[in-house]
Amino acid sequence: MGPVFASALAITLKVAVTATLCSFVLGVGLAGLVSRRPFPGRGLLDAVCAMPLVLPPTVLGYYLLVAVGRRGVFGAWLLATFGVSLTFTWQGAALASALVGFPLVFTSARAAFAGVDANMQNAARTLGAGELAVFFRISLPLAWRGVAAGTLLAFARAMGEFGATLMIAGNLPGKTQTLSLAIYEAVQAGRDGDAAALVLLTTAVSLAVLLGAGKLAAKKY
Amino acid sequence: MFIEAAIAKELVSGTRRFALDVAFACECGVLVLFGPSGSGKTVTLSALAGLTRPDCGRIALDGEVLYDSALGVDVPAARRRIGFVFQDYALFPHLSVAGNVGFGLSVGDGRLGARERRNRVGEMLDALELTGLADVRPGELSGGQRQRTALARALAARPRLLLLDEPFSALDVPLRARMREELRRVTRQFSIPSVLITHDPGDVAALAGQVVIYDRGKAAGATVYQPDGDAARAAFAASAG
Repeated sequence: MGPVFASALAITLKVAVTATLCSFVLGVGLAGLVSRRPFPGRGLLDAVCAMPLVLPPTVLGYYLLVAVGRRGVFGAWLLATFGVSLTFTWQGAALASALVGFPLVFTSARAAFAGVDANMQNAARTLGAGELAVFFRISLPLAWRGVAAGTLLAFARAMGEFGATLMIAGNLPGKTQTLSLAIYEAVQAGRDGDAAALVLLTTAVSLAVLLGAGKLAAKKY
Repeated sequence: MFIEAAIAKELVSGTRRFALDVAFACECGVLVLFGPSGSGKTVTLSALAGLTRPDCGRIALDGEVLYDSALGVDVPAARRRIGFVFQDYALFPHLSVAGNVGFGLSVGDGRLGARERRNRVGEMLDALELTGLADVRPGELSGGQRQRTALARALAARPRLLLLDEPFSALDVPLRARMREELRRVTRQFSIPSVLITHDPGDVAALAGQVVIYDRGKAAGATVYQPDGDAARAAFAASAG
């Protein structure tokens, strides 16, 4: 059990870190753009971006298969052009976790950007700052706590992703089997001791992440 | 500096509509926009700075067009070189006093090398009696220090015009008198023209060279301020009554 246990932890971390990076860049970038000024359809875009929070992971997994599966719209093109397929790979699992974690980054970043006093950005503009400088020097630092808290939550969520990951990446020990998948398999196979150890490990990591997120959210200038 | 502004803008919030329609042109050292709250002074200032786009009109400084709806010109705020001191000062809470004052010297066209920037920041801190507060965050400053930091930040970028929105409203009465004096000294020292907003006749009496009187979104022409026969005070009495 030792090596399987270690590989499940390693795959989980690899998947969660990759997924969190993707969610972070996409979520913060999109939230920054959407927050700049009202435009027609902004409410709809906000709703669509928050949707993965509400949809069952199996539905997301299904969408992902339709999009990037071997016969999927984008997946068929990937396979034909690069000979690459995301199904049954850890990258596919990372994609699933990124999709699930993205709305956590997006919604907290969106709220954090909305909370930045518009006069701060205007003051920067009158001092000669272009829009990129305004974003990176003013908006992002001032929204940082909310952004960081959302990112930690996305990381925690990615650590525990199960449904969408199972649908796109399967449950291959040593390849795509994450902690949560390993727990499911251990329980199914009646290996109660393994299941309990994996559960405790997952709980400890998740608790640490949530404590960190809480600390960041409470800090004030 | 010769300021020309003729702007119209309609603002709608909920069921309330507000129409701004003002025009003035003057050669100014200190120009005061005077009138009751909600008469359109801040929108005018914001349009001068390029932070609010009017529906139509024209804004020019010394003949250089910054906004002209007919010509399709609208110079972005970052390129207007117009300093702005906000009513609540809008200091950056995540930067020290020195970081705030040096901000305009680290972005865009006004970017300076590290050493030059340090010198200029030091100069500005001295000029506004902020020496020793360089590393302090704005949250720990007193009201007067905050205002001086906001002034230093705006002036450090060497703007050609300084705009001040209700610069004294957040200060208590004794401090207000001192800061008026301070503002007069600093604008003279840096020989920079300024436009400021107030609804306090005392500010008009203490500072004004020229006055534009606002009343419910309308203002036409700048008048030379005269201590007696005082147009400003008359307008204030009218608006208060």
